[in-house]
Order: sequence, then structure tokens, then C-alpha cells
Amino acid sequence: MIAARVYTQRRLAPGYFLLTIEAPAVAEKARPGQFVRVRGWYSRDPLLPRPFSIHEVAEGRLVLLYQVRGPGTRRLSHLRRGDPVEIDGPLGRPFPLPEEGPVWLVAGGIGVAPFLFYLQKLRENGLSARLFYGGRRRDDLLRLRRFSTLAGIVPVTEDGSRGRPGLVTVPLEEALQKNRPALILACGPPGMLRAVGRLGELYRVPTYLSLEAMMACGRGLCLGCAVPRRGGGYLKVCVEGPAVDSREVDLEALV
Amino acid sequence: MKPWSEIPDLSLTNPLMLASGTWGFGENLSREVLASAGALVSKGISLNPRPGNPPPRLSEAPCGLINSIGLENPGLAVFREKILPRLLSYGPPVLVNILGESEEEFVRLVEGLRKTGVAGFEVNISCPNVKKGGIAFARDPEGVFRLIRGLRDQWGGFLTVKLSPVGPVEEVALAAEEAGASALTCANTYPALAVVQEGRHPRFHLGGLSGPAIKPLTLRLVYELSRKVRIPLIASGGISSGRDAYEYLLCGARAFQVGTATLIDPGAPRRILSELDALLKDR
Repeated sequence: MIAARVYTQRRLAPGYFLLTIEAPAVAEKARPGQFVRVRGWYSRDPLLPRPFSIHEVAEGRLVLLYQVRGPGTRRLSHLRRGDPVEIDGPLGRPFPLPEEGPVWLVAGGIGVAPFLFYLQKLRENGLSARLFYGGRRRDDLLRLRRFSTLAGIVPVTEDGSRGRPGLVTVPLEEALQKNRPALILACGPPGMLRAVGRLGELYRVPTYLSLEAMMACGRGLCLGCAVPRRGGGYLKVCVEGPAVDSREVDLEALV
Repeated sequence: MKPWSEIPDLSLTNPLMLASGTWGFGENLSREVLASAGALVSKGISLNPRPGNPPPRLSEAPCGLINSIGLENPGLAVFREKILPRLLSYGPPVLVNILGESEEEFVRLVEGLRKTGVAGFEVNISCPNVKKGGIAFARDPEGVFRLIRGLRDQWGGFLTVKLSPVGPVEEVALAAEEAGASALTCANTYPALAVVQEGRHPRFHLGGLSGPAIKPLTLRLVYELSRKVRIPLIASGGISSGRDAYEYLLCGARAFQVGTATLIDPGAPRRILSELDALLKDR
């Protein structure tokens, strides 16, 4: 863990925050898809740093997009400019980068977080992209204007308050019936990942799922962030992921 | 720090050991972190590979971590051929944590590893003894006596028994000492539970509690046991600062292990050592 400072913190919507941390040494090495562990409190409770995907890197700063979910993220949400934090990373494997596009991204809720950084990388490499972006309601869809500068967006909400009503996998399947991208990459809740994994395999498109699991060390020491592997055994999200080929994952066991 | 001569049969450059199952097999830690430890205690190794437990394997408690990894490991053959040579190359003495479900399994593990250059063994007695209807060795002082006696026929070098903090701890400690153990690791995690889902269909996570939450409990255990046994105690329980380690030494420990602190920050072992060094010089 290294010492760093908060540059800005901004509330984007109820329960959603954008935290910018001044950490040039980490920012310089960061690649899209990787994650960092952050602690913004001095007490031993909560004990563990929290893992976050990297939303964006700009001028030696790391930008994290997160949702308040528990005691750790609640504490982070109270941090202000200049406050000290400890940061560890970058950790995990970067997202795969295909030779050719297009790349279709599927996000569920806060699962959109790592896609801004990745979309920037896709653009640098001249690869076109689409973002299927689902949430419960309109407040869950974040930074739409920013995302729309980098990809064609298909917004979807379960309550229909923005974009298509229903689940994000419905427009994804409709699109797959017409075209096939070079790669699908999904990040979101387990039910969505399972559905996207099945679609990717059904339509024979290479599909990566960015997995989430309770994590302690973030670097393969504790074997805590286990996800059942297809054919037996367990994947470790921190070192084999976060994004893994859907065919590696026991989709039925995703919870 | 001067060479640490508090543990006979084990040549340590300092009293800090990396605890079993908290540093992988070193592949994701820097060489500096690994080389700085007094000793490396391997992940628990069984005769056959073990897949480990299904998720969730982790939950948090106030100032603590609950884990149920389920002793995932590649088994003796892969460990010996593919992993151990690298562990031995890190520098510090390597203690292999062994786990079996019967006395014979433990014996075969020691047989398979005694000529490989390992500095010794840490015997995990928290697993169930299948031959005894699944009761943990740690609840059966006579079973521990027979187990350690049996291993002593195979191995005359350093051998520590990792005690469970629950059960007849004192009787087990005395049985291990009488059977010829070189030291006792005090202690493993505490059986604990976290409610991970509330409501009509609650879900529970059962595992072992580690971290700062358990330090006062294990400190007491070390204090009590140090008055009962003559062999050295290696403390293990929530050490996250030099002061924590120092307190264990004051309570009778002769070396100590760091585990959960390394998971939080891989820089922790070296920080703990330098803090302890300063405390020992002051006093």
C-alpha cells in the first residue's frame, strides 16, 4: 500500500460517487481492466482495503467510479480533497484487446465502471465499440454523455424510466441476431454475467466476463476470491481475472 | 536485527515467519518480502490435491477476517516437484505445513519431503481424523501424542504443532511436547460465523477468524501455555505491528507468525520487523 491523497470527490447520483486520487506511480502503470485496493480510514475496522476497477486515468490521477454498498464504501464517500488514502495496485489482468473490432460491452449498474478507461483504449487502437448499459432505473445510468463520446450506447432500464425497458440482455440478443462483434465483454451482477456468457457461446462470439468476488489480498495469496471453474476447481478473480473467458466459468454456479 | 537463536533446531535471521496460507507460494510477492522473513511456512499440503471450498470463502468481522478456504492445495507430488524448489530458492528456511486425515497420511507426507531440503514441518492438527469418526486431532490429546510420536520416527529435525485455540488446548500442547515436538505454533484461527444474508432464508458463512480481533485471545493463550510447556511457542494471532509482536514476546513467545496483515498489505512483514527492532533496541 502506498500513501496518496484525494484530489476530488463528486456525487454523481444518490449512492454513486466519482473519486479522483493523486497517485502518479499507480496511474502510470494502470491498464484498462485492472483494479486497485483502497483504504481511506486509519482504524482497523473495516479491516480490508476495498477493491475497485479503474474508471479512468488522467494526469497522474486515478478515477474510481463506485457505489456505496457497505461500511468501507460509506467511509470512502466521506473523503474530501486533500484527505489521505492508502492505495495498492494496479492489480489483476488487463482486459483483452482484440486485433479488430467491433467490441460490444455489456454493463449492469456499477459494472460500467471499468469501461470508460477501456473504451478510451479501444479508440486509441481504432476499434469501434457499442455499450449495452442496463440499470434498475434512470439514476443507475451514469455518465451517459461521457460514454456516448466513445461508443454507441444502448441504454436499458428495468422500470423503463430511460431507454429500453427490461433487461440489458434482450437488446444484446437482438443485436447478435443481426451482427457478430469480434468480442463481447461484460461486467455486472452474476445473473447478467451468466446470461451474457450463454449468449456469447450460443452465437459463437468470444466473450469475457469481468467477475466480482469478496477479496482480501488482491494478489493470489489467500485464494479467497474463488469462483467455480467450468470442469471443476476454482478460478481466482484477483490473478486470473477480473475478466475471464466465459468458457472458463461455471455459469450455473455464478451467484 | 541479530540472528535469532531463540528456537533450537532452526536457524533464523529474525523471529518473523510468514504464516501458512497467507503468502501463496510466493509467486505474487516480491523477492525482498520473501527474503526478509525469518522463515516461510508453506500453505497446508495434503497427500492428494484438494479443490478447497465453494464460495463464499471470505467475510469480514469487526477488526477481523473470517475464511473458509478449505485447505485448497495441489497435493504432495506437485508441491514437491513443481513448487518446493522455488520456495527453497527464496532464502529463508522453509517449514512445510502438513495436513492429513489419518496418521498414515501425515507419515507419508513427511516421508515424501524429508530429503528435499526443508527445514522442518508444521503439523496442522485442525483437520478431522477420519479413522476416529471425523473428530479433529486437535480435540484428541492422545491422538496428537500418537501422531507426533509416529512422525518422530521419520524426522528428527524441527517440527512444530499448530494448535487450535479451541478444544483441550493445554492437554494437546502437553501431549505434543511429550511426544517430542520441537515447538508449538499458537494458534490457528477461531471458529466463527458471519450472517451474510438476512431475512427468511438467511445464509451463514462459517470459517476461521483471524486478524487484530483475535490478538487479545491468543495473547492470553500464549501467556498461559508458556507457563505449562518448556518447548518454544511460536505466536500467531492478529499481529499487525511491531508492538503486537513485542507483546507476544513479553508473554512468552519465542518467535511469531504474520498472516492476515500480509493479506492487507504485503509490506506489513517488513514494517513489523523494523518496528519490533526499534522497540527491542529501546528496551
